[in-house]
Amino acid sequence: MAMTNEPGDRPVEHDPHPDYLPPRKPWAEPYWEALPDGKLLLQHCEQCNAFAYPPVDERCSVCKSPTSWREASGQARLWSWIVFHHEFFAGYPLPAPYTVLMLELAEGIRMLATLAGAEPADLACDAPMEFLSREVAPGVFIPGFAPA
Amino acid sequence: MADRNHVLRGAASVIGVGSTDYAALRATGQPVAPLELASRAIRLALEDCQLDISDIDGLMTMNLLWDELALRESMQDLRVIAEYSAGGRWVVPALLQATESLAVGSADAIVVVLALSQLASYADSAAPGANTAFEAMHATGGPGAHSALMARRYSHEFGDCGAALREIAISNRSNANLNSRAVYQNRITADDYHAARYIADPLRLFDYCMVNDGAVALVLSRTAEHSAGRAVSIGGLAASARQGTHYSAPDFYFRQSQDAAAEMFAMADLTAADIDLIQIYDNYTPSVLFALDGFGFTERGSAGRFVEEGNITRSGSLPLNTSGGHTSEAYMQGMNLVAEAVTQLRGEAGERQVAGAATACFMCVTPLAGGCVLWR
Repeated sequence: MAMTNEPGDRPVEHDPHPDYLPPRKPWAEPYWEALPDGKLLLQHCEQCNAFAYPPVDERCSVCKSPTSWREASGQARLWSWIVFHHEFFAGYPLPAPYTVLMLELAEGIRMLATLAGAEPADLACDAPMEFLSREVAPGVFIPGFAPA
Repeated sequence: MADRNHVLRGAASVIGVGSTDYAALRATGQPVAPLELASRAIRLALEDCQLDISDIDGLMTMNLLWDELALRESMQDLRVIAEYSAGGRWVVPALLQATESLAVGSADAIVVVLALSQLASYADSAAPGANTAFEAMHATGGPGAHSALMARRYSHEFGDCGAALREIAISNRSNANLNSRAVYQNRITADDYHAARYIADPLRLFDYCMVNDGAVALVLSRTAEHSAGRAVSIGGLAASARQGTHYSAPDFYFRQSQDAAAEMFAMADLTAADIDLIQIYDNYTPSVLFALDGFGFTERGSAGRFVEEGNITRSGSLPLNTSGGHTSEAYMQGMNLVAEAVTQLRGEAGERQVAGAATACFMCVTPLAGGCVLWR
């Protein structure tokens, strides 16, 4: 999952919380702590069985009950994807071209993620995908998916 | 379901239109303050309907602080006031509020005005549902990226729409070629379209709206008092919202578009087949396909073929964005499209006039969808 030696990569300074990451919130810490272990955690409502992503600091948006963390199955269906051929965001470690996915998780919610360990040519709408944590800079992990 | 006695059917009319010269503003290279742009558009709109600023008792602003504008324009004794954070998805809700206010007599003459300027800052990528914080870590963000995701998915579900998107961009530019106010008037070919860089593959440069300076002002009043002359009536209008976690929607906003269309056409007592020309909020070209399907101008999934068959060109069966749309005339967040609909229905569109145009429909399809039928 690491990609620090790919051609075109630039040296990045070690910053455990670069600007492109969302602000760290105490209530989302389990999500961030699980990524380096290759795990995707989702908030789950024990009452109505709904999952939530991105993490919410409120109760379940469906029934307002408290949520708890569950490890996701990591299984998803690819809804669509886009390829950025130019770099629009200064300071982002992945070089263009890079690929962004919209997935439908087995848990019934939609999620944006980065393509990991594959090329856009490998992709097809509705293809099965599996979760793969992607280290985009030393110690910085974001959610990725690869064709299953 | 049609209701020819609907209280709002034809109750209000657009009696005045004012638009800045987008090409001239671009040519100067000098950014102009939003208030100054709004002021220019309001003056033009008042001249157009021969009203004085003292006749105005309602003000609805987009991207503008209403109190700053009222002070600058010496607008006193305002009875109806609203301030919208943007145009686009707010255009139909604003026109609806204006229509209702006029119908019940809360106001007699309302200015609806939008201004956009490089001197102001806007957060388009923070549109509701964009979830920007969790998009930035993937170096993507905002409606433009979600539109590209939806374009690829639409092709998967209904057949490749790439050629249709190209034809929309080319048609818009062809219309702008006949509009001296348009920012981009040079025609483009299929080769030009494909040679342009990708913004978010599968969408390219000409699929995206521009960013430019300008303002549009509309003056609305009761039809009963302004039925003569150049007034253009609001026949029916409706909005419907269906907010999701992401800006993109799995159904391409079909459900809320259908809901808005049903209410709009019922109020107007018309169907899609009765509409002579359309103005669609083309922040990105795929929005045109989603609106055609969602508002029932095409059978679901067939908008791409409808476009490829040439129907949306100026000489086609349903001319689209006749002033050049947001990709070629100006990005005035839908307000320039409403202004163009009025100009066409008045028969004052010059070289780009659609012969015999008597009905028009403006549509904006986003998580908040809205449509408005206008007739002369």
